[in-house]
Amino acid sequence: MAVTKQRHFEILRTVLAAVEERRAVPLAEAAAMVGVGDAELRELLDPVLYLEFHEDDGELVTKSSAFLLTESDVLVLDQGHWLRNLTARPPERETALALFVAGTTMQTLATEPTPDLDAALRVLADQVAVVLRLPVARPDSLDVVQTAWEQGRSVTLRYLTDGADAPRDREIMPWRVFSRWGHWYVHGLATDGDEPHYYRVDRMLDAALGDVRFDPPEHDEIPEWFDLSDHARTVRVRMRADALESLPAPHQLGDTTDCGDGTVELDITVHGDRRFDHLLVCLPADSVVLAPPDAAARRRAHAAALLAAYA
Amino acid sequence: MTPSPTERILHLAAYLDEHRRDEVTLSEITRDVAGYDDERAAPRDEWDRLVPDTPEHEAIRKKVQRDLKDLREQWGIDAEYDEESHCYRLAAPFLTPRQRAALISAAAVVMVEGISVDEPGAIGSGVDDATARVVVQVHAHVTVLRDGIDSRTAVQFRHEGRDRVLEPWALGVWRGKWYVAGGDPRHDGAMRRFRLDRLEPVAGTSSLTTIGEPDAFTIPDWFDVDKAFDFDPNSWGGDPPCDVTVRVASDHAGAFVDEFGGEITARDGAHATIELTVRHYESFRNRLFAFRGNAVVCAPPEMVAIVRDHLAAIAAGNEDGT
Repeated sequence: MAVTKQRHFEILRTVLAAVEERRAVPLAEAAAMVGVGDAELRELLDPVLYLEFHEDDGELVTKSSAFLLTESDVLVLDQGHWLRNLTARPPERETALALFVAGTTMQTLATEPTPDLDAALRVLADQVAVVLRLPVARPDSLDVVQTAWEQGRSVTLRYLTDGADAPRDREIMPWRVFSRWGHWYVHGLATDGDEPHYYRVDRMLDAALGDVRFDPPEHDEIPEWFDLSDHARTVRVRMRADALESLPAPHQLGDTTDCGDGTVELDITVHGDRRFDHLLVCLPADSVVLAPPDAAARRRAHAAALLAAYA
Repeated sequence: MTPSPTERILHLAAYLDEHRRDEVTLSEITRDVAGYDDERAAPRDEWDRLVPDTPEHEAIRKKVQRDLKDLREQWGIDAEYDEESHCYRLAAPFLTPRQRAALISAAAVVMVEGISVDEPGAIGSGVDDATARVVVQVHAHVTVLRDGIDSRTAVQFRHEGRDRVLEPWALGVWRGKWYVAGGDPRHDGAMRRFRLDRLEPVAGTSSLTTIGEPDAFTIPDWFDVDKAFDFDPNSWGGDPPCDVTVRVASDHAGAFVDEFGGEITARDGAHATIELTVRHYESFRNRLFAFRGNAVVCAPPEMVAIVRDHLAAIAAGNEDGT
């Protein structure tokens, strides 16, 4: 074992943090985390695991029951991370910001008072020195789908697909419930389906626990992104520049060409035929639809269909 | 057996913790913690106090100082020295164990992407990503803007083809997009808001940069952070407020209220009647169309006309796209 004192402390900080935050970490996993062998880590942990000495007057100072290494080689936290309890230094700025974002988000999700989190965030706020607003919605069906996920039970629901007029009854087995991009999703498999799908929780109507039991896959990652490129629909249009801010979100604007009379020419892209129809009727009436060739007719037809409701 | 430096420093931390309600002197530390004066080589007086101004005393004092420095730098544990009493006392922790536990729980549930945390053993660094339920993506410009807010330093960037300077006041998220609100120093500090993904570095720089001196501005008292990040056109629109009644298919009523707010004032079997105040007519009309025939404006006649006339004009359009 030939690690410097600094490296030794770095290893201890990393491993003990993981043990506190996960409650238990296999020695082998901890060793891989810090890039040393199991036996070496065991030796490096000795000063913490067996910290015990007598003062001159015989009083015992001991921290040997704070962290334990079980017979099955699992590191567990038993009596608290005493070293972290003594830490007077604030987290580094990036850490503080990440914790502040996580904590602020957690506050918005909480259904009960969170006095400890509130106090922690007040302390961190001085460190972060920013005001953050991070709203995360809690759809009505969230509690039901989270319970279903945790209990490994199906959930029955009426699901209103994006752009659909009427909901459909479904029963799905939730493999994972998560929030990303400001929306809550369930990744799950319909009881009569072959392929898993992502379902937006805010589009679920009347969700209830079902009777089908299941074991979710061991690893079900939160996706980095949804590939919607196959559904991209682009229109080229000349329109009033000041109307761009009123276009329905989400959309992507291409480079604009100033036509000099308060209008601009540009490409606007949305994803899916229904969003495309929606975009077309949201353009100012005096806009000129330049491409694709069928877009103008499509726009007129969709406007006529909507107009029927006002006959 | 002489302890290793790591052991000695950890013993020192444990000793200070054990005596956190006492005040401990250099003499007591070096007497009780192994590794400082094991051979009892340093001269002590009849009360077992180190005799000052001896080479041994100085060597021991420096060793303890080095270890205290390591404790401070490696673990953030700070033992303050009181000049009057010549005692050491632990500084108060930055967070209580319960506060830290609350933040760890938050870090376990909320995965924050886009911030590079490079601090071994930092709070939240050990959580298992597999337990995350919420992912929050932090835009890359946030850290620079955060620094600007913190130090009250203006930032410069390019936005829609123009170089801009902003005195940043706050950061916020609306519908998944990050925004910054701040004052425009070139227009008497008037409030401006920018979407972060539409900001670019000015020419010759690779990221947003601060400009000018720190402490260059104060955040005005009238600044309301909640209003600053409410981008709903119905909140800030400049059209005369118009009370509108909309008939919405029951299955779409929840989504409609999520989108617009408003109040459900009546229900029949298949429909809900929703009333709301509209302050941005064009935006209201456009968002209404997302519900197609499932949301139809009933009153007042002026708003019905706005919707109907727009659709009629498009439906009567020409083959050439006009």
